[in-house]
Amino acid sequence: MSEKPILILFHGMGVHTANSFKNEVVSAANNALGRYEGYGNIKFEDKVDIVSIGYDKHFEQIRKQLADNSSSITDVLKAKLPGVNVPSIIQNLLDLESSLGDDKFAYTHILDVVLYITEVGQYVRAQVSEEIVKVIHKNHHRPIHVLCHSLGTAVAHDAFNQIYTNDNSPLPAQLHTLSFPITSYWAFANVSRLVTSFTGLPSPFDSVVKPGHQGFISMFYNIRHALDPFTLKPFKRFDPNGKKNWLTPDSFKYDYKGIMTTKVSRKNTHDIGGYIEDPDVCHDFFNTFFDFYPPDDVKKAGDNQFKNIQGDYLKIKEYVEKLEQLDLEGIAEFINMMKSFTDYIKELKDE
Amino acid sequence: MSKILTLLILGVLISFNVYAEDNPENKNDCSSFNTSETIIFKGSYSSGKIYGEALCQFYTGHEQSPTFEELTRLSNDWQAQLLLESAALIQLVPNLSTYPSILNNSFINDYPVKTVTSKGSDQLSIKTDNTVIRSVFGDRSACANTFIKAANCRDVISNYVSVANLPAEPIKTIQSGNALKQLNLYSKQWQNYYTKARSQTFIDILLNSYINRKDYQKGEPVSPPSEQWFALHPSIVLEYVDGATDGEQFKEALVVEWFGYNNWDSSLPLGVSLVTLYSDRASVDDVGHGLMFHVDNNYSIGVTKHDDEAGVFITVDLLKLFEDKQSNYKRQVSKVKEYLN
Repeated sequence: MSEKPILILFHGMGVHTANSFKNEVVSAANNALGRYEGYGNIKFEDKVDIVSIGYDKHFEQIRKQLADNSSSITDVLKAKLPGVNVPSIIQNLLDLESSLGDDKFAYTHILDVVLYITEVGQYVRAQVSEEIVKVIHKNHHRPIHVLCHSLGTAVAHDAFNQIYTNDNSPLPAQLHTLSFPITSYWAFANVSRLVTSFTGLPSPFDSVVKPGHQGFISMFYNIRHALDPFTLKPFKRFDPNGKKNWLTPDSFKYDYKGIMTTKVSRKNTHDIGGYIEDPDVCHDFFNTFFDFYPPDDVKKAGDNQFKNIQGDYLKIKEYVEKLEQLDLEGIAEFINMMKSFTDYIKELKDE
Repeated sequence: MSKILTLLILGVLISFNVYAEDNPENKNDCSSFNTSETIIFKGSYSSGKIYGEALCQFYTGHEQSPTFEELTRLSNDWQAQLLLESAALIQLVPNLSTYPSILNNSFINDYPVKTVTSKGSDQLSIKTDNTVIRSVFGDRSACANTFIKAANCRDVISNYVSVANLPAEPIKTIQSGNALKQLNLYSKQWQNYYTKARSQTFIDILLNSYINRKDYQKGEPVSPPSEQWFALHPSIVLEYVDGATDGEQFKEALVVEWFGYNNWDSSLPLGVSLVTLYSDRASVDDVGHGLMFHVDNNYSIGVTKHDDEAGVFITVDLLKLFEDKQSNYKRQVSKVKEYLN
C-alpha cells in the first residue's frame, strides 16, 4: 500500500500566494530533472501530493485594515477638517499607515517580518497550525514532508514547535513528537533562529523541530547559499554543526544534513529555484520521493548543465563580503539589509 | 511481498468496515470481527483481533469500552508482533547482505515503538521513547529478488512502514482529531480578534503585543487576549456643542485616544479612553478634552469640555464602514445629522 507522499510548502516573505510558491518549487524540480537523461519525462508533481500553505493573506488582511482605516481618516480630514490642527505625531502615523496600501517592497516584504514579530505573528501561527494539523489528520498514514523557505522557515518552525511536544501529557491542541513524524524537513535560507531572537519564542536550538528521539523529524536538511545575505553569519544563521548538544552525535550524523551551495545560477541568490535546481540539493531531494540513480556519466553531464554565472558571482561576492562586516544590533539592521539586497538585485537586472 | 502486505492491510481495514456495514442489527456486537486467519501473519493475528474488537467497542460506546490508554496498549502489543513478523519476512529477501537491525528485537520488548519512517530509498528509521534505530539496506539490487519481481527497496521499506504504523492509525486519528478541534477554536478566536474587536492602529498592535508578550513567548497555542489597549488612536467623530453658533453645532472632528481600554470579548463589550478632540469652529475653542466610551466594539460615545462649552460626540468604527464602501460613511453621517436636526 504505497500512496504518494505529501509535501507541505511554506513560502518566503513578499508577495507570494500558496499557489505561486508551489509553481516555483515544481518548476525548479522539473527543470532539474530535465537535465538528466532518462529523467526528463518525470514530472515532480506526479510523484508527490503538494499542499502549499499560504500565510501571506493574513499579513495582507492586517496591512489593508491599517491602510484603509488611516486613509479614511485622512480623507475626512482633508475634505471636512482642512483647518484642524492635527498633532504632528498623529499626522505622521496616519501618513505612514495610509501608505501601507502601496505595493512597495517595504510593505510587501519588510512589513511581513515586522508584523510577524508582533501579536499578528501569533494570529498567523494560529491559522497555519490549524492548516498543518488538517493535513496531518487526513494523511498521517502517508509519509509527510515539509519544505520551507526564508520567512517560511520561521513561520513553519514556530507553528510546528507550537503544535508538537515531547511532553507525555500534550495540551489538547498538541501532538506528540513520536506519534506524528515528519519524514523529511527541508529548510532553505533558514532564518528561524534570527526571527526567534526578535520574537522571544523558543529558538531552533531549544525547540522540538529537530530529528532524534526528542523531535518529530526523521531527516532534517538545512540549506543555505554562500552568497545568500539572509543566511550570513552576522544574521544569526542557524548552523548547528554539532553545537549546543542540539542532537546526539548519531542523530547529527545520520538524521541531519547541512548543505551550503556555492554556484550562482541567478542573480537573486535567495531564490528558491536556484536552491532546488542545484545538484548539491536536487539529488537528495529527488531521492527523498522516488529513486534517482542516474549512471555516473549521466549524473555528471546533468550536473554540469546547471548554470554558473561567473561574472555576477564575483559582483555578488563583493557585495556580500561587505554585508558580513556588519554588526547585527537588531531588526532595524536586518530590515536595512533586506531593502539593500533587493535594490542591489534590481540594479543587477538593469545592467 | 509488497502485494501480500497490501492484501493484509486491506483485509484488516475491510474487516473493520465489514463489521460496521454488515451487522446493522448487532451494532454493539464487537465479537463479530472477521475471524479468518492469514497464513503469513498468523502469530500476530490474535493480538490484532483483540485490538480490532477493542476499537469496535471504543467507537460504538460499548458497555465494555476500553479506555483510550488501554486501546493504546493493545495497539502497541499488536504493533510489536507485526514488526517481528514483518522483519522475518524481509529476511527472506535473498542476498540482502546488510539486514536491518530491526531483527534485534529487544528494543521492541522494552519500549513501544513509536515511529517508523523511511529515509530515501534504502533506509528505515525507528524511534522509541529513548532511542532511534537506523537500518540501511546496503544492496538495493537484492530487493528485486523478493516474492514479487521488479520490486525495489523503496517499495519494500514503504510497505514495512505501512504495516508497522497500521496499528496506531486509529489512535492517531483520535488524537489528531482532538488537536484539530482545539486548533480550529483558536484559529476562529484570532480571526474574531481582528474582525470583530475594535480596529487597531499599528501603535495599538505594538502595545498589545508588548503587554501580552509572555503568553506568546511560551511557544504554545494560545487564545487572543480578551482585552485591548489603545494609545495615540485617532478616529473621526461627530460632535455636538450646544454653545456653538448655528451651523457649527454639529460637526465632524478628530478625536485622539491617548490611552484606552476595551473588553472586546465579553457578552457586552465595553471600554473607555482618555481623549482630546480637535475641531474647527470659529465660536468655540477647537480643542476639547474628555472621555470616550466604547460599546459593543462598534460604537463609541464621548463627552468633552472646550473651555466653558461641553460637547457630546459619537462615532462608528470606520474600519467597518470603509472595508467595502466609502459611501457608507456619507450615508451614515447623513442619517445621524438628519436625526439630530
